Amino acid sequence: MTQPGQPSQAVAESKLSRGASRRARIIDRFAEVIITSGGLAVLAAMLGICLFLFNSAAPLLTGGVIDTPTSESSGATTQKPVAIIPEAGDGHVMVLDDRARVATIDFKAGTPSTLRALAQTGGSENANEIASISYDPSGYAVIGLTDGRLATRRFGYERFPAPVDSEAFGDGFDARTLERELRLQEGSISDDAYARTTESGERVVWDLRLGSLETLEVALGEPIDMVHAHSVGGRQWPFVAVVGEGEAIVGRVRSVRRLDGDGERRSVRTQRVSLELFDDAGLEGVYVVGEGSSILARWSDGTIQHYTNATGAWALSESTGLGGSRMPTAAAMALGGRSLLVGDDAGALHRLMIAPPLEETGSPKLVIANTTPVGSAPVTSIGVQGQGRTVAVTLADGTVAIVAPTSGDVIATTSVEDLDGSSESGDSPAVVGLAGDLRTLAIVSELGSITTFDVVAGHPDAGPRGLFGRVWYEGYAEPRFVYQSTGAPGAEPKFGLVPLIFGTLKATLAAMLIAVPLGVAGAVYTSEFLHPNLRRVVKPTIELMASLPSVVLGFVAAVLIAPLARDTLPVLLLGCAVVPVVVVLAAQVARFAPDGLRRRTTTLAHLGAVTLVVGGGVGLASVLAPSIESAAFTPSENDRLVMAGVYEPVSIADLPEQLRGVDPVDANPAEVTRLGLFVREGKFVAIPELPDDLRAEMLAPTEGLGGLRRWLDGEFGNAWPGWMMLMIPVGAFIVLIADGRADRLWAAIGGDAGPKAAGIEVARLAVRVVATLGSAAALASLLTEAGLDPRDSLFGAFSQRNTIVVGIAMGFAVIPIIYTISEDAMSSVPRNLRAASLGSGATPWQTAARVVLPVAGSGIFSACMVGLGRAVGETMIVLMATGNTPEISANIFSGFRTLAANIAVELPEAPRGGTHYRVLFLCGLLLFMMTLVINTTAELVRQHVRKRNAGL
Amino acid sequence: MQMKQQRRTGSAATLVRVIVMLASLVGFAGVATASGDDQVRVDRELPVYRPTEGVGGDLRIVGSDTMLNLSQAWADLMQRHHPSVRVQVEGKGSSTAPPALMENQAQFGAMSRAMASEEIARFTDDFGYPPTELRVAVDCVAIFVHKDNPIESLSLTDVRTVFGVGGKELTWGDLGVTDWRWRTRPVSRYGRNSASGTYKFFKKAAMSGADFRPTVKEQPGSSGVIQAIATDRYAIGYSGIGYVTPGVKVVPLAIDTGEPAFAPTVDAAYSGDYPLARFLYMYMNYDAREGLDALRERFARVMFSRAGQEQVIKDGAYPVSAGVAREEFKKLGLKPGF
Repeated sequence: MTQPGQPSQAVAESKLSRGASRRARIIDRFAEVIITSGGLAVLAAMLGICLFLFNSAAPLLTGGVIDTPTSESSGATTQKPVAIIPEAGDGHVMVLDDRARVATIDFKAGTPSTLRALAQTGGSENANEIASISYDPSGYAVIGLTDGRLATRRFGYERFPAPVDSEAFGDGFDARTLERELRLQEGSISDDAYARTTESGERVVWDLRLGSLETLEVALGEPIDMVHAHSVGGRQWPFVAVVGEGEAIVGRVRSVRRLDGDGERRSVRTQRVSLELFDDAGLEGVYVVGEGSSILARWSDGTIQHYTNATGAWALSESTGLGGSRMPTAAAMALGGRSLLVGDDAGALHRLMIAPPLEETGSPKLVIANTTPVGSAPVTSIGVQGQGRTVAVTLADGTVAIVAPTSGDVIATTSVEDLDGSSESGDSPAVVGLAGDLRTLAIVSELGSITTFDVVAGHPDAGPRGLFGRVWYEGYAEPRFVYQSTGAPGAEPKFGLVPLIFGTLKATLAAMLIAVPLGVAGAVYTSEFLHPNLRRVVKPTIELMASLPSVVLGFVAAVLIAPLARDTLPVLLLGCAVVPVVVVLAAQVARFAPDGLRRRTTTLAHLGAVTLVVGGGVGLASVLAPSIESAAFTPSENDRLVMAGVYEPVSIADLPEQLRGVDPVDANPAEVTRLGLFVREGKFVAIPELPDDLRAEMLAPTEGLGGLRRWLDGEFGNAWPGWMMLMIPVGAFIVLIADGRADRLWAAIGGDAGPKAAGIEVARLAVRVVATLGSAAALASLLTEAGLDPRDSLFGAFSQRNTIVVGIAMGFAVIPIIYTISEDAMSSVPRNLRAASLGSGATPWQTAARVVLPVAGSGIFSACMVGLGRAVGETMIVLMATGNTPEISANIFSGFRTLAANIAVELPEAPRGGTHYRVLFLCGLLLFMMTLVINTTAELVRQHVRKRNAGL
Repeated sequence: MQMKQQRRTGSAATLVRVIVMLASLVGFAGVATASGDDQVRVDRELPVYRPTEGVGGDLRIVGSDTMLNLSQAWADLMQRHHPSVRVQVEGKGSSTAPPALMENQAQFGAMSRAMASEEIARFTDDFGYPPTELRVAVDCVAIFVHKDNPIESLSLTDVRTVFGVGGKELTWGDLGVTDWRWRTRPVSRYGRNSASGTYKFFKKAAMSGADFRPTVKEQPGSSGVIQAIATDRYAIGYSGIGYVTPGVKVVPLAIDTGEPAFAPTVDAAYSGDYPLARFLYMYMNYDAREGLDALRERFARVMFSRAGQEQVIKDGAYPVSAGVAREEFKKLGLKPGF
């Protein structure tokens, strides 16, 4: 633009007087400053946004820190510690010991530690009654009593704001003053309340709240040697108790709360389990998993047993170890009660869980979901965070680490060897605990001395492996990329971004597949063939499409296009093949028209004719669709019998040779069908011999069960019709290439083109269509025989809000952009090039295809790239037209979730500064980088091509 | 770019709200016919609201989409009694309530689930005291299927298999339907978006915290779920009972296989027999040291008045008992006066 501007400027300058030229120079200078600063501001804004996004997302990728010990005490108030619980929120530490007593120590306030017994029965403390104890990280002590009863008690500190004017309320506080001041607060203040100024200068009151001691009505009979329970206090929680040699009781406690008052009904169901004992191994621990359908037993020889009641009675289902010579040294149940974390003697943390079976048949299996190497010494203790899923681990050599066990990311690690006398006196870390807010870590040694650490844990749920790797989450049959940001309390959020990136690319691809051909072809037609008068109407009309708000497009797609596409799916798919054929056929037929008529047709009439032809094509497709659908996608009689449930398993002896020893699920479906067999419920089945009347009766209810959508759902039929559909374009391509060769051959033997040859052309078109269909059919048969099924990849179960719908709606949004820029690029091709081409005898089509298109290529390319950039970032259409399901599947009939839609859906619920919030900013950063890469590529290619065309 | 996106979200929310309102009109008709023989009455002990003079100002309620109609009805009541009070209601999902309360953008946070311990901890960190929770209504999350679906009941175990991740693709036959039209058809699942309290409540109460399958189609509004189920013969979905329409059928639920199933009637909800009964909550940033201002006190009294609880019934949920109301007044340091 500056090139043509410069000479004219020079001319203008010479003609102007000196005064005017000074004025012009000032204006020039002024404009230069404004334009430069504007450009710089844009750049700065871009950089600023980029920095902001990066800044918000960066904390995700930095690890955590464990500071040097902040405080320690040798209180020695407890006996054998069971758990240490640092309270969240600048609090203090509680230690639960094996006599069910809680010692509380607040280092910062310097108050003397207190000791409270949790299992006071009958008014006086009777420690002898306690046989076993375990700690549930949701805040409960689970106590097994010698008389065979099971008791639970909730304990924990609660924080209150201190009264505003509490001058009388010094550090040596008066409990009665406190009580008076706080009578507005519900409930009374216990003996263990005290006030302190926090680091932020705020006065708070802490009060140890003990829940009531709840003893189960069902007495288990014998003394409880070992006990474990999780999710205590929920609507339904499981427990396991070992009573005597090799006998355990598994139970479920259900509390039904009345919603109109305070009543509560409680019921307990128990079942007995016999543990299979080892001669030389002792039981180290027993754990109940999930809702109480599995228990795990850990033995001193390293064996971990898995018992289930899958068949109604409890039995040993499998025994496993950690693999190799690794011996478990410590274990803890992760919050939520679905994973058992086991530390071994080589310093690794293993996450064991019960995974559902991968195939339809099979039973849940105990698997090691992942192994995190923490250090090299044996693991001595594992402490589970109270509200989340992060754990602290100590090793025998004094290493302390914070680990996100699900993804296997080690967040922070430190060594406490230089602590006074910790390693030499055998005072090794005994029990470790992690505060709910991940700010404090505490260790209580066996001698009762307590050390606390300030911790910065960062964002353990979204480590690099959690964000971009395959993770084996609880409840999943295999490691997968998963995005499910909102977890129920205790369940972990899953921030795998891969499904979102995949969804973004899938949506973009679908939109571009529709928008690029239509947009570019439309531009070619408008620029090269349309009468200028009409062009002046058409172009602004299409540009008007761009001004349609994307919400409206999304809304239309969701309520109109989606159901329409569902109901007319066969027509839609058939139309893709039929309409082009009809159009080409009509073009050939048009060549028979008399010259006079052809010359007299106006562009408008021409357009009308084209519309009619396309409409005819659609009409033909909708007429043909039902019959083709019923021909291709009807279940065979045998299919229908199987659908009606008439089949019986085939014994191995009756199985054909080639299928013996083959897993039915892995068998080649084409081969199975050819042998007259089916695979149902993971077994080979066949249709039994049936008398004719019974056969007819069984067939009757499955009448009308055919159709494309049922076929897509995989209910019946083989892969052939699907491959046929997919192979038609491939066949057309093959025929096109072959056709080019035939053309040259035709010219070589002196064939003549022109109106007279139109008949031959029509015949050739027919040959081409037949050849296309033939080659597609051959390819489809080949692929089917190879045992491949498109229903596993490009096709699959039909969902109403699917990729095609989004492709259409988003294509509609992108078409005007591609169209306008391409059209501009072609219109700016110099007229003399066209004139030269036409003058040399080229037809308008040849001129458009071989002269204008290559010259305007860079413009068309950047049009596509700008369209691509729009499609990547498009939010509202995908948000409304898909189900926003974060799945990874190539199926064009399934939905997806894009990065942009994800941000729009989840930003209002993400608390500022939290992990979820930062993950959303990471989504934004990824989106920003994607569009940056796309636009930069577009610009580079455009520059390159422009340089190449500079000579024109 | 960020601003633009937010504006777009805003207009989408408006659109969704309009749809919700239209659909709920249909919903009311459905409730009226469905609950003809199952009379729900407001507790006689609840007081009639007596307005006082000189209350004015702006009241903002932000949060649950399930409670949008209800909050609006209470807002209208409030405005009728106190013409100088302006009330704004916004319902994008329960998870939007805690941030709005903490950033002082709302006096009341409507939530269809109890606050999670993480949310309470964050609030307490900021203010030094926990948010105040008022139980304002009893609601049931129901499992809906297409009206022609012959299924009779489901257990929570079935529900978990249907919506939870893992396991095979299900057909209606797997859920015990013998009718040939459904038996072989795959189950098509609908649910709420993850910002909604119904989503989280369902995940916790019905699925024991298991993950949703990625193929559960997420709808931005309760009525969107119902609408989708009414047009998809093989659909199953969950939503608040208040949104029921004649196009869908409510499936009675049992806790475990083999136990009696209960429909979400008022009796089953109060007794706790219906496993997916829950309270609806209004959360407040109430500092006991400063007491309650007249505006918030009045609104609390409107909600727990006889007329306020009648609105709950109109919305398809069930009213709270006078006992619950008394406890809630005590939390706010108010004398119930009834």
